[in-house]
Amino acid sequence: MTQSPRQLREEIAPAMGAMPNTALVEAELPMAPDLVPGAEPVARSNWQLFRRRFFRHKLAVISLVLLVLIIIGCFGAPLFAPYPKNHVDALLIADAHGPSLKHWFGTTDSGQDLFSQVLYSGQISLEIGLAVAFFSTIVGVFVGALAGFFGGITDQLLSRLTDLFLVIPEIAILAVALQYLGRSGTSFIIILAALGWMYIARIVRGQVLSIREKEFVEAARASGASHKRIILRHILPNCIGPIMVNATLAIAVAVIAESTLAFLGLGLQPPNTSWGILLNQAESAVTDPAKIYLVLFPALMLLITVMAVNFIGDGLRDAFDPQSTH
Amino acid sequence: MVDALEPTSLHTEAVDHHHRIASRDDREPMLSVRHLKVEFPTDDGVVHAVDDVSFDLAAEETLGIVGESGSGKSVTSMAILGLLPKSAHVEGEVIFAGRNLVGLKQKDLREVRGDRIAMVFQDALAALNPVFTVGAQIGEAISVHHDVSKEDLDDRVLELLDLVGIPQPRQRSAQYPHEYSGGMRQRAMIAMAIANDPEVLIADEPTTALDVTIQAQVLDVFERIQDRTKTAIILITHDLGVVAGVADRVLVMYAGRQVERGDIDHIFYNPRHPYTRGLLASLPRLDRRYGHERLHRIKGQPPSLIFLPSGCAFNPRCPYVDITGPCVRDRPELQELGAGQLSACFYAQTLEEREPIDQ
Repeated sequence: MTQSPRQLREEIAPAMGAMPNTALVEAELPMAPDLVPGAEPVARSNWQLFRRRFFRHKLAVISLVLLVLIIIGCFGAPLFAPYPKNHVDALLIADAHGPSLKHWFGTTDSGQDLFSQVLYSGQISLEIGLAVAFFSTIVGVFVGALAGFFGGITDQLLSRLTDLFLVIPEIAILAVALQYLGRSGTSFIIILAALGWMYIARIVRGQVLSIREKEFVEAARASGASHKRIILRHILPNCIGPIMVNATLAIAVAVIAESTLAFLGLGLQPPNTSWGILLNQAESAVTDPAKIYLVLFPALMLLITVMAVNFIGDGLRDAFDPQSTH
Repeated sequence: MVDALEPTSLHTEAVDHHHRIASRDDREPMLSVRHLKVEFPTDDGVVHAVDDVSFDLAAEETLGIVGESGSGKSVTSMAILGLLPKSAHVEGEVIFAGRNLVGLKQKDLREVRGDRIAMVFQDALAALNPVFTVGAQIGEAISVHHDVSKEDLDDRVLELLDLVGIPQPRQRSAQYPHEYSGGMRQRAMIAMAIANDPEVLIADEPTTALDVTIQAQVLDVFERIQDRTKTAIILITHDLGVVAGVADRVLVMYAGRQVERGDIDHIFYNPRHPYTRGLLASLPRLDRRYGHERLHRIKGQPPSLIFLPSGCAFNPRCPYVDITGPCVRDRPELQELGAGQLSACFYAQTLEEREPIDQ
C-alpha cells in the first residue's frame, strides 16, 4: 500500500525528534541541543553558564576547595589552631621536636607548635598576596588600557613609565623603602603593588591594542559610545582572561616575594609571623637534616597556595570565555 | 533615428518617475551631503578617497551607493558619522537636523551616532562583541543614549529581535554571537542599529557575507523596518542585484568620485555613464545564451587614488574615450540630464546613441 506524502511525514517526524516547523527555522537554526523546538527551551543565565564552564575544569575546582580551606584555616586560626598564637610550650623550649600526635607539624626551635604557627602565619602571607594582586591589577589595567587605547603620546609616556619601573632593582628598593615606611604589612602591600603593576600593564596594553582594531569597537563607536564606555564595556571584558591569569600570578609572586624577603631578613620581623618568617627561623634545619619538617610544612603551604591560585586563574580564564562552551 | 526606436513605455515610465522625484525633492532632505571630500595623507602621497560627493536623502528613501572596492563608498559613510581616523582630512558638509556634522565636536557627534544615524556593518560576527550575549549588546546600544529601566530594556530587546525576524527571541537574546548563524547575526546587527529608531540607517555591505537566500531575507528585514519606522536608508554595496531590489535611487561611485546618480530605473535601463554601462553589461543575464562567450568585463584596473589620471578618472578604461577631446584634459562635472538623472560624462547626452558595450 502506498502512503501519501503527508502520512509519510507524520510517520517520520516523531522518529526524527521534534522537527522545526517552518522552512525558515529549518534553514536557519543550527541550535544548541536544549533549544531544539519542541523540547522546552531552557534559558540559562550567564552566571549559570559561567559556573558550568568553571566546574568543568577539575584542577581549578580542587584548587578552589584547597584555597578556601587554607583561607578558612588561616583566618579562623583562633578557632582551629590547637595552640594560641606565639604560645611557647615550656617543656619543649630551646629545641625543635618532630611531628607527633600532640604537635602535628612538630615544634619550632623556640618551642612553638608549628601547625598553629603555620596557620597564623598564613594570615599575613595571604593578606599581602591578595591585596598586592588586587592593587597591582587595578593600576596595571588602568595604565595598560589607557596606553593601548589612546596610543600616540599617551602610549609613549605610559610605556616609558612602565619600562622605568621594570628596571628598578626590586629587592634594593624594597629594602630601602621598608626602612622609610616601616616594616608593616601595609607598607609591604604598597611597595609590592607599586613594583608589580607593570607586567599586567604590558599585557593589557597589548590586548587592548589588538582589540581596539576589532570591528565591534568600531560598531560601538558608531553606536555613540564614549571612550570610557568603549574601554570599560567593550574592550576590557575581552581582556578578562589574561587579566585573571596575571592577577592570580601576582598573588603567587607577592606571597613568594614576602617570603623571600622575610627569609633574607629584610621582611617583616617577629613577633609578626608569616610563612617566610617561619622559613627564616628554620635555621636548625640547615645543620640538622632530621629537622627538615621545619622547612617542609611552611614551604608546602606556600606551594599549595601558589599552585591553587594559578589553577584557579586558568579555570577563571576558561569560564570567562563564552566560546569555550561547545 | 535611434531615439525613435526606443520603446515608448520607457518614456512614460520616465515621466512617472519624474513626478515621483519632483514630489520627493519638495520635502526637506533628512540628510544632505555637500561636496564631501576625504583625503588621507600617506608616505606615498595624498590618497583622494572621496572627492566631491553630494547627495540628498529624504525620509523613507533608500539610496544605494555602488562602486567597486576602493571607490570611496565606505569612507563616505564613515565620514558622515565622523568615524574616520584623526589623520583623515575631511572637507565639505554633512547637513543633518540643521547641523553640519563635519567638524562637529566628538561629544555632539556621539549624540547623533547610534541614536539618530545608525550603522549596520558588513561582517556581523566581527561587529558583535564575542563576550556578551546578543540581548545584552542590543540593550547596550539603547542604554548608551537612553536611561531605561531593566524591564523596559528587556522588553524592547525582545521586541527588536522579533521585529528583525529572530524566532524565540527570549532564548535567542541570552545567546552569544557565535551561537548564531550568519543570517541571524546580521539580523541581530540590524536590531542593534534600529534600537533607537534612527532617522537614517547606513548599511555598509550588509549582505555581502551572506548567501543569496539569507541575503533576500535580510533585505526583506530592511524593507519591513522602513515601512514601520520611515527610516531613510543608505545601502552601500557592490552588488547591483541588491541595489535593484531595494533602492529608490542610486549613486554610482568610481575612484572616489560620483559618476552617475539618479532614479533606480533610469540607472538600470538607461545608464548615462560608460562606467555604469560597463557594470551593467558585466552582469550575467538569464535572458541570454552565452555559449563559450565570456561575460563582459571592464578592462584594466581601478586607478591609484594617489595618482589619478588627468581629466576623467575613468578615461583609461573607457571604451568611448576621446583621447583628443576633453576626457583626458578636463575633469567632468555632474550634469543634469532631466528626470533627476545626473552623469559625470562629457558625452552623457549622446551616450545612448553609441553602440552598447556588451557587443
